[in-house]
Amino acid sequence: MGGNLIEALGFKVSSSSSLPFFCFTGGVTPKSSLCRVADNKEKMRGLKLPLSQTQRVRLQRAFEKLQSLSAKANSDASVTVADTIPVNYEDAFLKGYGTTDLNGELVATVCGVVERVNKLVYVRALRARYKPEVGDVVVGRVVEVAQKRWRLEINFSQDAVLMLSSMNMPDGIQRRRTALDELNMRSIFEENDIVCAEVRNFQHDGSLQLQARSQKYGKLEKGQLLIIDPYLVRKSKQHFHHLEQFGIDLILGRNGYIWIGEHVEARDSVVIDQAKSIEQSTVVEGINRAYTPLEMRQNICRIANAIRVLTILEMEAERRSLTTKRKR
Amino acid sequence: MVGLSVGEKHFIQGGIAQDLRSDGRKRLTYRPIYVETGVIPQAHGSARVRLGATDVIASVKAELGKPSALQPDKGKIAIYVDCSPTAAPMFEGRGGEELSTELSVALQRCLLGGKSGAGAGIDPTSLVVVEGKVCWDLYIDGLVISSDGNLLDALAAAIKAALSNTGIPKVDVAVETRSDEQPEVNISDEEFLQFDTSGIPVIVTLTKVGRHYIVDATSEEESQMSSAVSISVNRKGHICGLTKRGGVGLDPSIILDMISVAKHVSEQLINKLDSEIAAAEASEEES
Repeated sequence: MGGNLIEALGFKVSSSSSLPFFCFTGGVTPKSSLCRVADNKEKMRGLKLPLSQTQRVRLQRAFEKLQSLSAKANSDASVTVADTIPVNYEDAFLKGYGTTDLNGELVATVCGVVERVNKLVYVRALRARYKPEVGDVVVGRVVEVAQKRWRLEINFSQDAVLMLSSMNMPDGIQRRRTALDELNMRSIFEENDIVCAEVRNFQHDGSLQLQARSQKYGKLEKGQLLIIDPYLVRKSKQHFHHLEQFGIDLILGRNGYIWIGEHVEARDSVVIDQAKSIEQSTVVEGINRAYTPLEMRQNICRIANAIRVLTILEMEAERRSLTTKRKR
Repeated sequence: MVGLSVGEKHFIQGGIAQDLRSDGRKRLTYRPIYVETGVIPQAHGSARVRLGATDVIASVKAELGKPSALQPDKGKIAIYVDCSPTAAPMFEGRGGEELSTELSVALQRCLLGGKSGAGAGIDPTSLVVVEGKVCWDLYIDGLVISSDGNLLDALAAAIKAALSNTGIPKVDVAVETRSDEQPEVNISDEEFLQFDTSGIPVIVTLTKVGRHYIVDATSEEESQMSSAVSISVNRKGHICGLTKRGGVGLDPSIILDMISVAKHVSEQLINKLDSEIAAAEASEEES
């Protein structure tokens, strides 16, 4: 079934024995199909919406799963716009985001899941923009090299800032950044470079500040970037995955940017890189620099297509869904 | 258009050199094509074509008009393309005008034939109602909703699908009129004439990156191109039009090679497109 579905969606999948098999994480998660639940409820209110056969089947399954899950305690009820939120009106409670008072009842203004934190009742929307948290791993693209900082685009309402002081210096010594360091910022990151970093804190105007102090963060080369919806990347313990069997690095940025590329060892110092980059800039590009070997490129393409398929099916992109141990 | 880092550009060029592009396609493979017809009920014919993330709509409207004095036995056809600002932020306001004119001119060249009307994909003599007095004016409009490379191919496919979806109303002409008067015409609401679209060519765009050419480039791959040649081929394998974009010069032998590659690719494309259009029309009739 999986193979046919993927072929039908137009992606090239060849299932030879040395390939990962696609293992979908058991069925449709109810949270991802709440928008379809909305359709069902609309139908129940007398409105008809045109759904294709597959959509109808998915809607039924999602609805059933939702019913089975919400048969438990009511606290995690899912709501759609204009649904009443089940609240004990005698208790004092605080109306949070996504709710409003309508005719004395507490009504949801977004589609999502009701969250209760002590006395605060709010609705967490699903397909929202990326909502950053401190410590998130994000992948971004440099849009500007400014004074003592880089500005990165990370699929958020504002550009994130990576300060020069939040980057390790090439020689590895901890020291104050001098004016010379500032002039040499371009040798570290240029415009349009892909950078992996971590969220350090929020600035007073709401924008993010990033840091890339560890060796696993930094510039990403030799691979491709994939952009998906941020809600499909859940926070987990590991965002850097090194798939040994393929020699591939997979970085799942929480902002929906996913990097798939050749494996690069975490370097102790970037000095070697700098020497290499001086060499490369004087040599004609594309001829002397070796291309990624075909075998690794095939694996990168397969993983990328697998993630694209999972995105279309609105399933979360995680390492487990992409590879599975081959049973001999 | 978002920029690409040096590493990404190198990766794309390497992929094209090794015949394995970023999404796993070979160099001469098209993305899956989805065709929907009849998307604009008020127009006489319309179609929407999706090629990966590229999304275009074409509509055909016919109005009665007077044929030009130089060609009294031919109707008139006009093709115009508009790039919607929803496709890319740079198309806002007048930003998309240059690209729109470029696409319109290329399509006119490929589909409308020469000044004398010879060699057109759509036969203009089939559009005349009363010779010298009344003819159909066809206005073909293309709209680019989402742009991910290869707009010309998608637009040509959409126009082909829209024309096969077009129904020109039947016209009854009052017989007793003197030769210098405008004849009375009665446009029927019921009967429609369908076009014969087997003569309409498709456009195959070959994008040269490094030493190899690829078909159906995404916008990332197009940013790496040195030059692109769009060749319009019809069912018989004849070249109906040729457009070259991009600043880098090409050796003539390369152009000849590209033409033969395009001919080879166009056979599969025409068959695929025809079957998709037929399927789209069939599903439109059902619903």
